[in-house]
Amino acid sequence: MKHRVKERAIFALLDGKLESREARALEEHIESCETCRDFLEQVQVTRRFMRGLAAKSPPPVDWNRVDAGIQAGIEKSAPRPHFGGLFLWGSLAATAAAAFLVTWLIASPRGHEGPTPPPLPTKESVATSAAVEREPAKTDTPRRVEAFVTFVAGEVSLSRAEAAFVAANLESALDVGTNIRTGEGSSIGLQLGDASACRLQSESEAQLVSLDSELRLDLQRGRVSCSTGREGSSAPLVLAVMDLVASAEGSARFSLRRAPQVVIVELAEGTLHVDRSNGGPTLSEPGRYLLGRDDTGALSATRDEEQQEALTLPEITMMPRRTIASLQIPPVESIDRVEVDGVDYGSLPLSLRRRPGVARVILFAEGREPVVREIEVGFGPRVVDVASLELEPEDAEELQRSRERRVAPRVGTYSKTQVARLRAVVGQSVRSCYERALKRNPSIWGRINVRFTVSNSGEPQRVNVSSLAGGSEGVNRCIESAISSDRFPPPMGGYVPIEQTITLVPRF
Amino acid sequence: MVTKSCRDKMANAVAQAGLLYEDVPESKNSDEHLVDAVQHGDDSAFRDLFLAHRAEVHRVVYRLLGPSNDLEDIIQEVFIQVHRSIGNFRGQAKFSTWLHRVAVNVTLQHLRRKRATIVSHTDEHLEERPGGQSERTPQENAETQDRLLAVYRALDQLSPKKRAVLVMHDMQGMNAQEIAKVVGSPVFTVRTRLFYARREFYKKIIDDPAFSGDISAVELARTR
Repeated sequence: MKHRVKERAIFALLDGKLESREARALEEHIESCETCRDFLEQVQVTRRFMRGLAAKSPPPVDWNRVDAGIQAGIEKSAPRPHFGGLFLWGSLAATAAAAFLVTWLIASPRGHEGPTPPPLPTKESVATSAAVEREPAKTDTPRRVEAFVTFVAGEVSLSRAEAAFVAANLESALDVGTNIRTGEGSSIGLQLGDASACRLQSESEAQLVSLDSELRLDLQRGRVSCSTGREGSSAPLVLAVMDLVASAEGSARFSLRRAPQVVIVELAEGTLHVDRSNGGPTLSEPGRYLLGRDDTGALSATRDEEQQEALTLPEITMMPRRTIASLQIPPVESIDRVEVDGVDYGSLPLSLRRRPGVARVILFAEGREPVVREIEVGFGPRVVDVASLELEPEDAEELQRSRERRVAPRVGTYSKTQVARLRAVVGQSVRSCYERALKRNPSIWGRINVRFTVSNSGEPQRVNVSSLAGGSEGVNRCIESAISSDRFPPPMGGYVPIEQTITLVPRF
Repeated sequence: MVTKSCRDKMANAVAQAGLLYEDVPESKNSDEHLVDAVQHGDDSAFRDLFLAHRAEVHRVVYRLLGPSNDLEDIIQEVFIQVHRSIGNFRGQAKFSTWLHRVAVNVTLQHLRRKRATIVSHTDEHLEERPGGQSERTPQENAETQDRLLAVYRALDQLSPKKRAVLVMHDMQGMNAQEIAKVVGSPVFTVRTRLFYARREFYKKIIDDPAFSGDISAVELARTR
C-alpha cells in the first residue's frame, strides 16, 4: 500500500505547533520514511527560499508615474450619479390603481458616509409616488442601498394593469423603453403580459436577482430560464440584471436580504463568477453564499453567516440611464479565442452585456499576433461586423509579416503527466546507453546536459548531449541517437524545448 | 563617479528604509489624523498617506504578485481604491491593517482577472535586483531566478485566496491571527485554507525541476 505523507503533521512540526512528544514521534517516523523525509526537506528548502524572497526589496517602481496614475484614476472615478435606493416594487392590490410600483427606498447613512449626489429627478418622482401609495418595507434598521440594478430580462408575470404601469414608469424613470421587448433570442427584454412564469432567453451571462421576492434561476450555458417563487401568480417581480454576478454556468438560486444588505446565492452546481470583469470571486463549491462588499470596497463572498455583518452593498450603485450595452461578435473561423477588457471569453461567437463605452477586444488566432480592436459600444445591441475587424492586414508589407508570423512556431505546453512521461522516456534512453558503456568501462561516470526540442507532433529535434563533467563522447552520441528515435507526447499549442541535467554514476 | 549599480544600491537602501525617491512627509500627523482629513476631503492628506505607506503597499503587492509588468498598475489601483473606500473606514482596525487588506484585495482581483487568461511568469519580468544578487555567480543567479519563477508558477495554480494566505504565512511569516485580520476571515478558515494551499503548493513545487534539481530548465514546458 502506498504510504501517505503526513503533510498536516509535517506542517505543524515546521510551524513549531507540535507537542514535544508528538514532534519526537514524527521525527522518528521521518527517520524511517523516505517519502516523508523527502517531503519535509523539500518544504524546508522552499520555505527558506520564500523567506529569502520576502527579505529582498521588490524591484523599484517609478513613483512619479504611479502618483500620476493615481491622480488620473481618482479624477476618473469621481462620484457617479447615484440612485439613492434599492429597486423595490410590488403589486398595489390594496390601492385604487392596483398598480405596479417601482420604489427607490431612500435610506439612512448606514453603510455610506460620503457625500451622495442627488438622485435623478425621475427617480425622485417615482420614489415620491411610491411613498404615498405604499407602506415602507419593514426593517429593523434604516438602510441605504444604492442598487446598481439594470433592467430587465425575461418574461415576467404581470397583470395588464401592472404591465401598463411598469411600462409607463420604467420608461420615464429608467429610460429602458427600448429594452422592453420580447426579444426573441435576445438577451435582454421584458415581456409584459399575463405570462404565468418568467422565462429568460440569454447567453450564459446573466446577472439576476429578485429584489422583492425569491427567484429561482436555472442558469445554463446558452440559456437561462427562471421562475418566480410564486409561479402562476402575478406576484410583483423584477428580474434585474446586476453588475454583481457576471456569469454563471450551472444552477443557482438568488435572493436579496436587506439589513444587512447581502445577496444570498444558493449554488446547486456549476460555477458562478461574481463581478468577473473586475476580478471578483468565483464560487464553485455548491452551497449557500452571502455576497456583498466589505469595508475595503471589495466584492466578497462568504459561507460564514457570522461574516455577513461585515458585508454590505454600499458600492453597488444604480447605473445611469442608457447603460445596458450589448456586444456581439459572430463566429470567425480563424479566431481561437476572444478577450474583452482583459477578460477571456473563450471562442467566438461572443455575446456580452456591458457598460457602454469603448471595449478593448483582442482576438487570438493560431500563428499570428493578436488582433487588438477598440470597439465603441453604445446603448442597445452592437453586432460587430466581422469585416470591420479588419482581420487581414491591408498593406502588402504587413501581410508578409503576418505570413511570417503565421509560420513562426509557437512554444507549447506539457501537462504534468506528460512531463513525467517525457522524463521517463529520456531516462530510459540515457540508462540503456550508460549501462552499455559501463560494460566496457565499469568506472565511467559523468554529468551530462541533454537538450532537445519536441515538435508539435511529438518528434524530438535538435538533440544535443554534452558533458558537463566526466562522461564520454561515445555515451553522448548514443544518447543523442536514442532520444532522436524516441517519440514523445505531442505538446499542446506548439513545440517545447527541453533541457535536462543528468548525473551518471555507477550503482555498485 | 556614481555607477548604475551604486545608484541601485543606494536606491535599495533608501527603499528599505521606506524613503523612496521622495522624503516621507515631515508632518507628524498620525494615520488617524490623516485619514480623518482625507475623509473630510483634504487631498493633501491623501498624498501624505500615499507617501507614508507606498513602500509598504509596494512590498505587499510584489510578494503576492511576483515578477510582473503590472506591479505599478496594481499599486496605483490600490491607492485609487483606498481613495474610493476610505469613507467606509471607521477606525475599527489600524489603518495599516485596513490598507493591507485593500492591497491584498486589489491584487487578488487582478490575479483572478489574470486567471481567466494564460498566466506564466517568465524571465522578462525579472529585473536585476540591486544589491541582492551581486555577489552570486551567474549560475547561482540563474538558479535563484528559476526558483523564483517556479514559486510563482506554483502560486499561479492556487486559487487567489489560497495564494494570499500562503504568501502571507510562508513568505512573510505572518501568523494565522494576523492573516485573518487582513483577509477578513475567521482564524479557523485561514488555517484550513492555509493547509490546503500548502498541500497543493508544495506538491507542485516538488514536481518542479527548479527545486527538484532533476530537470534544470524545462521552464517552457509549463504545467497547465
